[in-house]
Amino acid sequence: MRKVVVWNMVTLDGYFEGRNPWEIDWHEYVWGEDLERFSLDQAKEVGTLLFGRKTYEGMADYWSTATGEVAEFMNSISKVVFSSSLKTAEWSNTRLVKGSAEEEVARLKQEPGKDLFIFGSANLIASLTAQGLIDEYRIGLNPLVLGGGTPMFKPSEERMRLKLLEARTMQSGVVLLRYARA
Amino acid sequence: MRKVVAGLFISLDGVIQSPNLWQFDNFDNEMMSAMNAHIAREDTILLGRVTYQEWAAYWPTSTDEPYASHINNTPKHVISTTLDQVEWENSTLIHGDLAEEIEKLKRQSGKNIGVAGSPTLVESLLHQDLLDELTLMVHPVVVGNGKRLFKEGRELNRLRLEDSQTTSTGVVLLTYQPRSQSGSDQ
Repeated sequence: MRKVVVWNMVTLDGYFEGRNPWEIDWHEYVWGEDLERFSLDQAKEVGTLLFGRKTYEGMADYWSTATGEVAEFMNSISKVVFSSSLKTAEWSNTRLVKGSAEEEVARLKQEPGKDLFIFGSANLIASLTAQGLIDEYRIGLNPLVLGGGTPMFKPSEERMRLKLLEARTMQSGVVLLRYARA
Repeated sequence: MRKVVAGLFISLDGVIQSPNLWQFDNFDNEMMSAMNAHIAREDTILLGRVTYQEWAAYWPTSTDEPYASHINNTPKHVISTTLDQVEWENSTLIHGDLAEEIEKLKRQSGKNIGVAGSPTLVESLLHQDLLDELTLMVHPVVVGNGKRLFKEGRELNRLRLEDSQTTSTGVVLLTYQPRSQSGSDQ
């Protein structure tokens, strides 16, 4: 069965974006050769990208017209967006799923192929986490306190124990953390 | 000059409240030796009011060594605007301006000044640019809710990663040096 992997750059205070949607300009402090290489290596593990509506809209808007190796990957890879409000999904190679994300992801996991990855998408992460559908949480912990924003882990009544798979330090001071559910 | 250093247990989602509820088997010998190395570098301790009150009720009669001897015997400075007196041995109450008091302590010779527990004090020190080193012991757990170390509404604050260690149970010990907020961007 293929895995569902979450990947996000997160600040020390737990945010993956600032107070405004797509406030991720702080990536610039740390983005460099090692994160670029990590990102391209990681791309080779991706079968399909899964998005919530908000992340999808921002990603589609940005990558559709961007160029370069990462843009090529983002535009050509198979994508699924989960939304009950979107009418269509125009970004290349994207399928819109209006029904239950949990059911669809459970089904996709059974299909052959490379792994399913989620970027951003805190709401989707929360609902899939609640159903135990996420196999790996991958975090780029940034040496930065942002002061406010959208947390990657939404407040929850459920405590989740994890198993550390890897901790790797990047030149910029980002610590790459990989966890599986314990 | 001696440094003001702090170390806190923290969950992956940033919670620092009641680590006893989510620390499980992560507090092992390896963690103990990392913490012992930490306390060997300090000869003065800072405590916030809440941690002081909790700890003053526990450590004076505790036999959990070596920390019991260390925390009982080391000079302790308690930062509080509401306490009238402190009774734990070797403790002094600090009522005055935090920055001035820290400067006074830093000018004295000695080993590091360690903040014991006291997340609210740690956050204030960080915010006021008075902390020289912060070690976050990131536990492999998402706690879900509880008091967090970092407050909302603070301005952006960049830190520098100085050291990273991993214990065999999956705790990641990350040591950061806060960058001076007023200083130049290095």
